[in-house]
Amino acid sequence: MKRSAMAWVCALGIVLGLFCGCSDRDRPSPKDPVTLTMWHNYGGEMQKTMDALIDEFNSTEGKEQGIVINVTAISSSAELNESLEMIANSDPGAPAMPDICTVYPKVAIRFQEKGALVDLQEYFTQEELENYLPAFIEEGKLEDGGLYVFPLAKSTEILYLNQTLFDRFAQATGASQEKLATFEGIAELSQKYYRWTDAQTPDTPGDGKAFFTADSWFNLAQVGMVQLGDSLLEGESLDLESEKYRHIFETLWVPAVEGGIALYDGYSSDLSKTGDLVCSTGSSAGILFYGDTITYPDNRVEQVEYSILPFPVFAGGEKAAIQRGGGLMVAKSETRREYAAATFVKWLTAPRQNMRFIASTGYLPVTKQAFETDMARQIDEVEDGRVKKMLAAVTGMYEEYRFFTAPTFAGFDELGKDYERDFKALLRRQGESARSGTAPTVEEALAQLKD
Amino acid sequence: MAKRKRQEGHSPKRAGTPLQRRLFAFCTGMSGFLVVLFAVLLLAFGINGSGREAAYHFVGGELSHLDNELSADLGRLSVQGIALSEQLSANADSFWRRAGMAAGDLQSQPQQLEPLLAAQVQTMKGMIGQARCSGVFLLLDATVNPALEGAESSRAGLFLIKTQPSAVDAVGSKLHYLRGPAEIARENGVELLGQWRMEFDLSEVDCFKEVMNQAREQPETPLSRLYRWSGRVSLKGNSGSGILLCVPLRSEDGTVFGVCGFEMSDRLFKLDYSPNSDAYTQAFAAIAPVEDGVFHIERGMIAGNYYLTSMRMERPLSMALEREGFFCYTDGSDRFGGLHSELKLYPDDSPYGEQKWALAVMLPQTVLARAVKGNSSYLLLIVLLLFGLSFVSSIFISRRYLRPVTEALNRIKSRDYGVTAPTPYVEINDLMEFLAQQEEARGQEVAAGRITGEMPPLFEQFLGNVKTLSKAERKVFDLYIEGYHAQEIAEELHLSINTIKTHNRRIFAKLNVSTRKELLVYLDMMRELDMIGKG
Repeated sequence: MKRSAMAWVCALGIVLGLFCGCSDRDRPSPKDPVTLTMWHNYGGEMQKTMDALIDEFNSTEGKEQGIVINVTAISSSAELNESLEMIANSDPGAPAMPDICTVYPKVAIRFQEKGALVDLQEYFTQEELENYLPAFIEEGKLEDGGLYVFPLAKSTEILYLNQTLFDRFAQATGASQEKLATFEGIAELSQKYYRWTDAQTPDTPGDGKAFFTADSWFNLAQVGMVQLGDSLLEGESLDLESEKYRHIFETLWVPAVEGGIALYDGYSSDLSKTGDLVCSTGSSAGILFYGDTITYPDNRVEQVEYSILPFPVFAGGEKAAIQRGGGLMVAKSETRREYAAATFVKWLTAPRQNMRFIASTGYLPVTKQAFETDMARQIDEVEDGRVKKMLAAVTGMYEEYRFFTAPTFAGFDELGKDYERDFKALLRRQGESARSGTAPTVEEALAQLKD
Repeated sequence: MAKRKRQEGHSPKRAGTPLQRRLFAFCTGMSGFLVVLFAVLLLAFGINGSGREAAYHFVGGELSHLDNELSADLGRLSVQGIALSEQLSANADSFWRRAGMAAGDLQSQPQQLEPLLAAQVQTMKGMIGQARCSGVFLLLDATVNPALEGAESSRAGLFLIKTQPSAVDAVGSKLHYLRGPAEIARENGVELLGQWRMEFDLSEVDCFKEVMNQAREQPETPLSRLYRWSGRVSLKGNSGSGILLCVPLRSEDGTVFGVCGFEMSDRLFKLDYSPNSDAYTQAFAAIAPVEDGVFHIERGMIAGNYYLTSMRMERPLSMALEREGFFCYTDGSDRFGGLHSELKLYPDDSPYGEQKWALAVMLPQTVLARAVKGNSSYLLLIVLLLFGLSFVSSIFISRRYLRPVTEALNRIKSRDYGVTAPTPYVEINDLMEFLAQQEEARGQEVAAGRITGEMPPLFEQFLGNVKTLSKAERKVFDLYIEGYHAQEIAEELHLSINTIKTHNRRIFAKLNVSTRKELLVYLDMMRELDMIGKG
């Protein structure tokens, strides 16, 4: 009797199992899929690659596991950051927090402090994490040691040089390209270029052109201080008192006031497109924004060539450069959504996908295999000549330079924005004063900046 | 030998149906009836497992919702486009007056193009903030440098786009510059896009020229009849694409000097008009021109959470109504199912009124077929399983509940009426008790001499006659006693039926009986007196 009862219970269990299915609510499945929203900053030509990768995920791994990635915003980092700020501040009209977003650690920390981010170490085994470059993983760890910004692609800063314009300038003035190795040399050439271009229109004095600019003056100052063996930051504040900073400031201030350095609020690639610049420091991931032409006001288009040079060094300083590039943060949510997001992050950063992204965007890979083996092997196969040139230059830099990452604390982003705004405003004002013949001394200028 | 055979199941046929079989048939019939009733009730209440209604409701509902929203948005955008044209034309007329020129002088004075465009930026920035669009453009029918190669298809203008197109006047939505003089962008703090060009290249886009030519041919027709929606276009050198609302620019003197309008990019369409993906992740909406039963999706846009713009279909889809009320859309290899409705983009008297557009909500055909089929197979499986369960439980019940009855009957046969082992059934226990009492009473009567044991004379004679049977006849007789029939006896003794019949005649004659029934009466009497096997 007992045996027959057991048999009936088993039979009933099997029948119920057949009809109900064995569901695991912590995991998505093709019958119970989950759709995740994603924001990223890979616009323009990079968008095609990211779109293709997401398409591939949705139709392969995502399809098998019931995960759909839905990109709801593609914008610049600055714009995404503004929207994220609204979310972090719970501003009225703020958009809904995306499940996955590309972000810099300095922005992610705002969400981490509120407990709104997933520590991705929970979804990666130690063995899996060891496949990534340790420095990149460390960069994504915030104050409590949790991995909140998972590395997707990294970049550094390099010197973009419009070789066509420079050659023309060098031929006329004898300027040496070797001077581009130091900021002091760039400062000297900036003054020389401004005067040379100004002299081409003797009837219009003061219309010389800028030679150099930096996409981030704050990064330049940080790197400069590191190169000179010091730091721009003391704790969570700026330290502008040191002699080394004075040297950096003076090096830039002199040509900037004269007009040889452009003080532009947008990216240097904008000025490059119209030939209003010869060289600039900027992210290695910005290569695709430079194009390969100059458009003049009369709509003539000139084909030009760009060279990618290592980040300049202040005279006598150490070869050091900043390592930058955001990663992916995952919003805290129900377990199945977090699991789905982590699955996507894992897939997207696997060596094969990582190399595909790198080969068409100009970023650096984040897995050891892609960085140490695949990249060197595949550089020759990269179709875009600009990306190939950039990868070769950056690979060389990684052999010669020391890389450092900017610190991460809650007020860091704001600190950088304030410095950038004040530095450019000061130099613009003093440039105008200089042209009207009332330029202050460098000490006075520096004192104004400190104020 | 015969007894052994009987024990092995070779018992002779008996009249009636075994009780267990009857009970089994009853249980099976009853439970089967209930299962059938269950199935009939499901069907009567419309629960047949088919997903057709749910799928139709979903697709139809999404289509209706998106149709209302999109029609309203496109209508509003058309009105805003006309207002934009009027405002830009008015600005241009002021500019002509200040510059001492006419609209027709534009190409002959290319140095005026940049100041004219600069004068329009604020109006465009204001309009793009109010409209649900991804970009605003202004194209002048002139180029800054007519001497350049390719100048015939190069046109000056401005194209501003929103990088976060779904945000209307929201913080975080910045304008970028896709076309126009770089200096104007810098003066207005607008960043150039990676695909920035100074002028429009019309060599691969016809819509601008068509709209200007149409406006020139119909100088009296109001702007509200002259706007046109292009199919999806991608400006040369641009990675994005979308549909463009093109409205002619007409000066006070009637000169058509350009085109302006709004862009709805495929990314904006995807963000704002994707159907609900909760039920079907692969559902998507599409708008496209329709000509002769062909849905020109290669000139349209799609929106679905599952799809990115790069997965756009590049071949036209033929449309055909299929069973279940859904349309099938196919390009020959891919097949989709869904519904569509016509989008009214133009007034009836518009010169573009003949151009039909439709909005469709689709699913891959395999997904839709699965949705329509629903879970009817599961339902059928459930009914079959219930049948199976009822069959098995009938066997179980009939065996379990009849076992005490058959055991009781065997005990009755062996006159074991003991009440020490009662059955689970009261009625059987009562019967056993009754038989036990009768047995006891009979014993008492015998003991009291009321039953003498004297046999009737005929029976006594019958017993005497039995002894006269031959050996062969006795074998047949014994089998009759065992309950065998003539045919069974023939088989048992390996004799022909005729031989058995001959034996029967002799047996009947010797025993002095005339019928088989009479013979059985004597046999019963022998059994009652326990004389079988003793004769």
